[in-house]
Amino acid sequence: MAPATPSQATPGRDRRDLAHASEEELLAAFAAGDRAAAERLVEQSYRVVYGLLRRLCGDGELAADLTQESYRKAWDALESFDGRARFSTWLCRIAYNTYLNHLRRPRRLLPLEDRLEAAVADPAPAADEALGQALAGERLRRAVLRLPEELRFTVTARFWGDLPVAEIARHEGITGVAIRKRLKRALKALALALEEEAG
Amino acid sequence: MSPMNEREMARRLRAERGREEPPPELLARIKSEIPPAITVSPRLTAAGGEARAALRRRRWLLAASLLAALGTGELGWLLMRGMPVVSARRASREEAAPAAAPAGSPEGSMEASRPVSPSLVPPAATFPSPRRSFGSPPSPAGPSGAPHVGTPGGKRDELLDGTFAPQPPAPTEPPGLRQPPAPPRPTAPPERPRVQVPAAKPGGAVPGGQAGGLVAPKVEERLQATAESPLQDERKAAKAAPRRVEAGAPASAGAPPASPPPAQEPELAPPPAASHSVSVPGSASSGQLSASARKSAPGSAAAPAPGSAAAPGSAAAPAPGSAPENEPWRPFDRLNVGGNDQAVPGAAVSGERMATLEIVVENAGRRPLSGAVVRIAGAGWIQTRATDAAGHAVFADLLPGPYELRAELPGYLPYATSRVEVAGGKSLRIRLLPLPAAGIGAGRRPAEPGGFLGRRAGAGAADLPAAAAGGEDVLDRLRRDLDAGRLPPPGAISVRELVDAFDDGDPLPAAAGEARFSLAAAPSPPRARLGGEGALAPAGGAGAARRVRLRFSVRAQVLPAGATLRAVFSPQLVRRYREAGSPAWVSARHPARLALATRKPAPAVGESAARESAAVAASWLFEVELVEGAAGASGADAAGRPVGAAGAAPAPDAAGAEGRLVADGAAGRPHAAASAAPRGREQKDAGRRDAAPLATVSLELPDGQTAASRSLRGVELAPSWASASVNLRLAFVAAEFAAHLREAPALREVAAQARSLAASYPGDPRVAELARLTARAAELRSKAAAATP
Repeated sequence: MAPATPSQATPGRDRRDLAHASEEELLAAFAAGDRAAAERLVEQSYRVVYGLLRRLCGDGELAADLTQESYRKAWDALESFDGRARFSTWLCRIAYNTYLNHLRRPRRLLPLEDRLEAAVADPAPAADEALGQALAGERLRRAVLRLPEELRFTVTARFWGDLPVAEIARHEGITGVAIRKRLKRALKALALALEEEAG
Repeated sequence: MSPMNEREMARRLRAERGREEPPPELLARIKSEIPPAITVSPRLTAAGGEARAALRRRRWLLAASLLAALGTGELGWLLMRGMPVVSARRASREEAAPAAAPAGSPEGSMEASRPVSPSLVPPAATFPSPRRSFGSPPSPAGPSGAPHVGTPGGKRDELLDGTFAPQPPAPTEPPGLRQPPAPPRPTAPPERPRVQVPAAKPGGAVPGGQAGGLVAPKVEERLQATAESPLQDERKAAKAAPRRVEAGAPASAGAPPASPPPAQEPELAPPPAASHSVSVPGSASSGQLSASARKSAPGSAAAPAPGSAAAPGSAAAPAPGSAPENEPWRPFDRLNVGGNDQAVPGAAVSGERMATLEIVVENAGRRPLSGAVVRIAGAGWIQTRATDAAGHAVFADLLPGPYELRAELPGYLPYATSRVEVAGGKSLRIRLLPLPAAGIGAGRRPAEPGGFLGRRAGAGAADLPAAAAGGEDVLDRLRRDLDAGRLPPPGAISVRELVDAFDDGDPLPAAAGEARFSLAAAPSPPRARLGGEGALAPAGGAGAARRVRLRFSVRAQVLPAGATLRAVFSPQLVRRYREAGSPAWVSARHPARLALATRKPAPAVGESAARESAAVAASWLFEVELVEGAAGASGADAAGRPVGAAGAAPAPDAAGAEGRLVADGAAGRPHAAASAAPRGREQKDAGRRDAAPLATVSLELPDGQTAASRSLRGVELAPSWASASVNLRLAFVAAEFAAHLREAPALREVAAQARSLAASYPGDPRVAELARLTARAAELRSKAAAATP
């Protein structure tokens, strides 16, 4: 008889059960040794984390690496997760911190070739529009990164992490009204920053 | 430009979201790093329970609110109508009472007129009607002197139906008058579950004898309800014998003075065969081993005492951590010695086999150490053993679960690990290091007769800092600084020096290829080795999937001063390389060169050659990045050219080897064939590809003579970082550590890597020491960062 794979650690629990399980149940199952529960957790959340990091860093490959690193940190720190907010919210915060750490980290690996050289504009007319969109997106990203810390996380979590206001509020330990005020201030600041840059 | 409003800004922000799908391999990469076991905060599980409890509370509150609202509405309605209904109801009740009295309920009249003496109750204790018990007198002793056998439930029923309680005891009637029993409710449904009680005991009360039979069904229902309450459910889930909880319920539910039931209580499991060895104070007998007794897991009767030979499969054995509130453990590090990767602390182990843990304590030279004190702690007790002459210490009859482990021997650094998962029969090998004065940092192990080397000779001269030149070892300095609560000054720790400090000079692993060679200057027998090993770089970091980590090692008892190592990389396979810990990448077209530092040995009589040479044991670490365009596992790009071409047709060997490398790296399989396996002529090419050298290291002597060379081929690489040898992984973590100490931050990452390494190699003292130092450095770094405004 073949040994049980880690995914079969919890007898009686199959994929269908996991598909409808809540995050709490998945975490409990994972703590009980059910690896499939952890995989389900990852499947549920990795797109959001990747999307958040993709927008934060503007580089898909780096976002993938940081996503992987975020999960690594999350597994290590899972004991400190107190369930105050949802697991995905907590994970987004880890991903956000991971990105900030990445920014602060000194560049130890010096590329021989500048990667940006590959981004040569195509002379075709259609590329101008795409380039314009990319530039606008990059300006917006930089403007978001220039926001104060509390506004920055709120904006990224709300718009790029697609987290509900209530979830962000629960994680931050403040009220939803305060989060909405933060968002309002952040959007104003962003609009002002983009206007200044444009004109 | 018109000012953007907030809505427009939010729209633009949302538009930026989700433009790109994550890479397809990302999910697999993340899943591959899921640890086999985790610890979850107790608050988390409690939070789930609290949420459910809160939901239940909310439902009750809602129901209560509805009832209150309805009641208030009715009251208001009645008030509005001037309370006519209340008076009407009262009047109708008064009218109905006298009418009902003569007719009466049949049992009421019969019970009142015919109280039954307990002496007439059949001893089978299956008296059918609950109302019959009301006939028993309220006094402790019945009219005939029989002991009162009413249960609290019965008393309660008497009080509820108080009209019957004051009835004077009627004279005992002959049995004939009692037959047949009262018609309406005399017979209880036979299938109704009953509380099982032991056999009658003379003069005994519940739960033995007639009293059990007189437990009214109402009482029984209450008892069952008690046993099935949520609290009991939790206990049932935590314990393996739910029927015993049920059996214990009558006694705990208020049965009169319960003397311990007879030992032959049928539902209790037989006591363990070695129960005599249970010497825990306050332990209960097996007959009294109720739910409450079993709740106290550690140190309770259920846990066998140290050295006891508890019966395998004893159901009374609690799982370590089955009572989390008593759990004394710290967060464990996922170390699993027993091989049960899915074992979770706290898992129920009722009926599980006892485990045996064998510890072998040895020194760095892998010689057994006798007299070492090994202590394990877990499941509520501590066991201590001293190792015998073979360095063995055996702990038998352990409950499977997590244990703390500590080994001490005077003159050696103590070894401790926070958690070792024990299951089945497994052994663990511990290597103790000498105290720092003569420890691994000092590294000057005396030459052992059977050993290959007495001691590494050291680092590259160019890389040695000034402090090292003074003779103080890098590890000593590092320990001194970190233990004193400060980080070493920048530049004080050399990467290669720290790598060598953790290189124990042992022979290369069997998987690592090595070239043996002789040196003219060496005494007889000349023994020198040049070896290499490599593995795919760990996942994570940009472009890590195309990186390979190589380690070349030179071991020589005697080496002439001025000997150098030269590394040449295949430009068809390697795009660039860098030494571990170095930020600078170098094109593969430029070879690397390392001057080996030799130490002048003590003069030996008659060995003039030894005066100018010394032993060397050093490691040389590289991280290489494979050439671009090699993503295809088949070894060919979209245009059909061999991968690795990079615009130019490479040598077939080189191209094929790269295809193999990338295939291994992408699939994460140990040298598995690529998905599109080459066939026919391609198979022949594949064989040559595997033999293509990735890098070649040669040892050059001062006179320009090449003493030996060693090539590393793609097929020799470990398929993954996790499967690489401990020396390879340790060396790279040490290099990273030194680099971060020298340059800056991110020490926590290095500490995490070292911790992971320590979890993989629990018995390796070098790994443990590196993990300790990295953790200390990371702690100091974070403190310094916190102190910085």
